[in-house]
Amino acid sequence: MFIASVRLAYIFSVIFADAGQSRAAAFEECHKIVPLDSTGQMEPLYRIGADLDGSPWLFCGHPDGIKQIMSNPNDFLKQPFLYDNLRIVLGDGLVTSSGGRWKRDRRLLTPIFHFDRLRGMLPRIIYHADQWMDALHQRWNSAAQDASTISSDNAPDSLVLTVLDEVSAFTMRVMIDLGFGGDFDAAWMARQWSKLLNGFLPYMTGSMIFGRVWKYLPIPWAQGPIRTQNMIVKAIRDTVQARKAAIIQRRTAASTLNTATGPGRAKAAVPPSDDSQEYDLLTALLYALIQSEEEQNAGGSADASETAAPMTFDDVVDQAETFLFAGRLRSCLPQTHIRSVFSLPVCLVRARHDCCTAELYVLRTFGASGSATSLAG
Amino acid sequence: MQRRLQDEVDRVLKGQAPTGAQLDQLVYTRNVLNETLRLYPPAAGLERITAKPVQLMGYDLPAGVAVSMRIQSAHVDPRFWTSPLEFKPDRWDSQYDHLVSFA
Repeated sequence: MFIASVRLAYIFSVIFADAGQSRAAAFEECHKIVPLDSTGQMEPLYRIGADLDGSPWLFCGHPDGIKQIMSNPNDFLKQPFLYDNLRIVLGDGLVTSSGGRWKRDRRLLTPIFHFDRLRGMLPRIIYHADQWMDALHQRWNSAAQDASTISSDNAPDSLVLTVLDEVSAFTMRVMIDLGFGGDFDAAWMARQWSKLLNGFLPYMTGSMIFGRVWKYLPIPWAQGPIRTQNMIVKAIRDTVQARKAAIIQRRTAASTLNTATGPGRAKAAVPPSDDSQEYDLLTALLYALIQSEEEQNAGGSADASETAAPMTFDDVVDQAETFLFAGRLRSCLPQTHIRSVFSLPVCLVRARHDCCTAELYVLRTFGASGSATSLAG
Repeated sequence: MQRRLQDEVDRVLKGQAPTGAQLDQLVYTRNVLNETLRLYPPAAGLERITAKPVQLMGYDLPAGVAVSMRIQSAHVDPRFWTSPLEFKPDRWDSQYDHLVSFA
């Protein structure tokens, strides 16, 4: 009865979400497009027979088609249903936003990710990599006191590593250091993101079945990820607020000094040079926010273009959430796959679930030679 | 593959931490990264919806059609890749120069 009620609510939400007639016509038109070939040969544009939130759903794997779609954002909008669901892990940042807000943020953030600037971050990345490797060696050495009897089949839990968790914790430390000045607790963040992502698939599946009512259902699969996201967002908000207060305090002090030493007025919000170490992601966002607030207080920006939409505190929090997620996922997954493909010198990688939950087992060196020092070396 | 990767790292870095300038000399390392991203793109697909009637790949699409860009499919399409499912870093010696960014 409950499920039936939910399903009925979903059907009504679909019906009233859009004009039914135009939707039917769209389905009819798309039905002319070839389905996925049973031989597996893919056409440049094909359908698989499913719909997405009540809309016909086509697939394009041809580079020319992908190029056309990506080059014409006004013709092809971000699919609202999926991107609404993605907001639970991404916030409303660069990945999920569109239009003027996307252009404004893209323009603001592009210099931070210039390759020459990333090269300058290399020493800090190496520092974190060294710390990580030292911690792994210490862990293996301390756990392998009686290594002569250890093989891949009886390795103790303390010697079993989950590659994705290890690499994601590393990339989270790097992202927090270089993007956010080390202001977040990296270990806590990594744990919360793992928890959130583990719950994301059931959340997404439920949302696709039950529609927009899913996130209001009082069940763990719906409410658990929402609670975790709220905890992450609260931590981000607290940190952003503290950093903003510190920047304003520094500027006020500098302004007071200028007034005391000579005539003039307080300088506008000018961020540090973009090649300085101080100019990280959060600094850039906060200076844009302070500048925007000052312009609003002075009667609005002279620039009326859509790229000059006012920046808000929530915008900064959303972008921070996006990049914490993106920094974790985009960099740690390829690293994990590389380790899965090659394996570490002293370990065997067992790939499970497309390598994403691969586990490392201590093998061969321990079992054959029984030498903990050879592992450390 | 692993031996070759290690040899390049040893030869270029000589046991020291890498500098930004040395990254360009790690050609095989770059190829391995590209090949990994080809077979395991972090975003396998991207979803869009048509805002108005448009033509795409020879088909006329009305407004309101969801179109999923299959990045991973494009990366293993035999029309564009030789032995697409094989992990072959050397393919990037010739294909790297043909990359086009358009987003």
